[in-house]
Amino acid sequence: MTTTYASNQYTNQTSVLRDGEPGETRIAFFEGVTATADTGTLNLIKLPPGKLRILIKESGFFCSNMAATANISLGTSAYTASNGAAVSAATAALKAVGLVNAVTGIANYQCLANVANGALLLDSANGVTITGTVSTANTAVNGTFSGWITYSYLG
Amino acid sequence: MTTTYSSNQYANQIAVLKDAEPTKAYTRFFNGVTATADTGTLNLLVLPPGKIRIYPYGLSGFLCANMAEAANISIGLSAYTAANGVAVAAAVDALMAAALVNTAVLANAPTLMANVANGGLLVESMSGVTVTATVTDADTAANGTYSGWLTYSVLS
Repeated sequence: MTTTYASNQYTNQTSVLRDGEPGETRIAFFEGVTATADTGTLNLIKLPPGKLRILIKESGFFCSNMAATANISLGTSAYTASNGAAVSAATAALKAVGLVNAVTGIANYQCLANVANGALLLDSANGVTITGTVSTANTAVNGTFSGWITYSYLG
Repeated sequence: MTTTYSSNQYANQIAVLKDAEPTKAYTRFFNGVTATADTGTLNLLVLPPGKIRIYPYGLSGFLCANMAEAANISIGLSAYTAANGVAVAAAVDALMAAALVNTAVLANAPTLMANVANGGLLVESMSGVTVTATVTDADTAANGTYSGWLTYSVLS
C-alpha cells in the first residue's frame, strides 16, 4: 500500500491543534507602561497555540494617564493558522477604535465588545498576540495599561 | 565543595513557587452562617500556595443576608508567609473597602470587590492565604448568611 490512510480517530486527533483540555478555562493577566509618548502597538499578551475562544465578557482592559485625544482599539496580531494559512492582523477584533478616555480607570474595564457572538475563536499554529493599537494621538509618557484575557480551549 | 551552587535552570525552577500550570484558572465557592451576633472575622477560603492572581472584577463575587443593618464589612487577606519567607501583614480590605453589609446583595455581588487598582490582586505565598471578611461597627447577626466566589489564575 503506497497510499496513506487515516483512521477517523487519527483524523480527529490531528485536525485540531490543542494545548489544553476541551472546556478548560485560562486567564492571562497583563500590565505595562508606555515609556514614551507615541502612537503604535501595545503587545498585551501572547495566547498559546491551538483552538481556543476568548470570552470577552469575562475579560477586561483599562488604561490611565493616556493622551486625552488618543484612540485605542484591541485585537489580534497577524498569525499562522493551525492549517498553515496566514491570518492578517485584526487590530479591532476585540474592541472597536474609541477614545482612551472612555477606558480610563478600572470602572471601564468591560470594554471588549466587538465580537458579535460573545467569543472570539482563534485556531493558531504558534500562538496569537493580543494587541492594543493607539492611533490619532499619542499614548503618553508613563501611561499605564492592564487587563486580563479569559479563554477556554476548543470552545 | 562546601558552597552550594545552582544551575540557571534550578534557579528558575525554584524562583517562583508554583501550584499549577501558568494561566490555569480556578473558581472557588464559599458560604456560611454567623451563628452568633458579634463583630469579627469570617474566614472565607484558603487559597493555595504559589503565585496567583485574584480577579475581583466580574469574575468574583460576595453577598450576605440577615446581617445587622449598621454593620460594616470588608474583604481582604489574612497575614501570610510570602514565598521568599517574609511575613506579610493582614490586609483586611485588600479586595473590598469597608461598606455597609446591606450593600452586599446578590445584584451587587460582581461589583463589590473594587479595591484592586490594576484589576488583579497578586499573591505569592509559601503556605497559602486565607481570604477573610471583617465585620466592624456593629454585629453580624445570629443566623446571618454569607456566600460568594473567587476566581484566580496561576502565575499571571
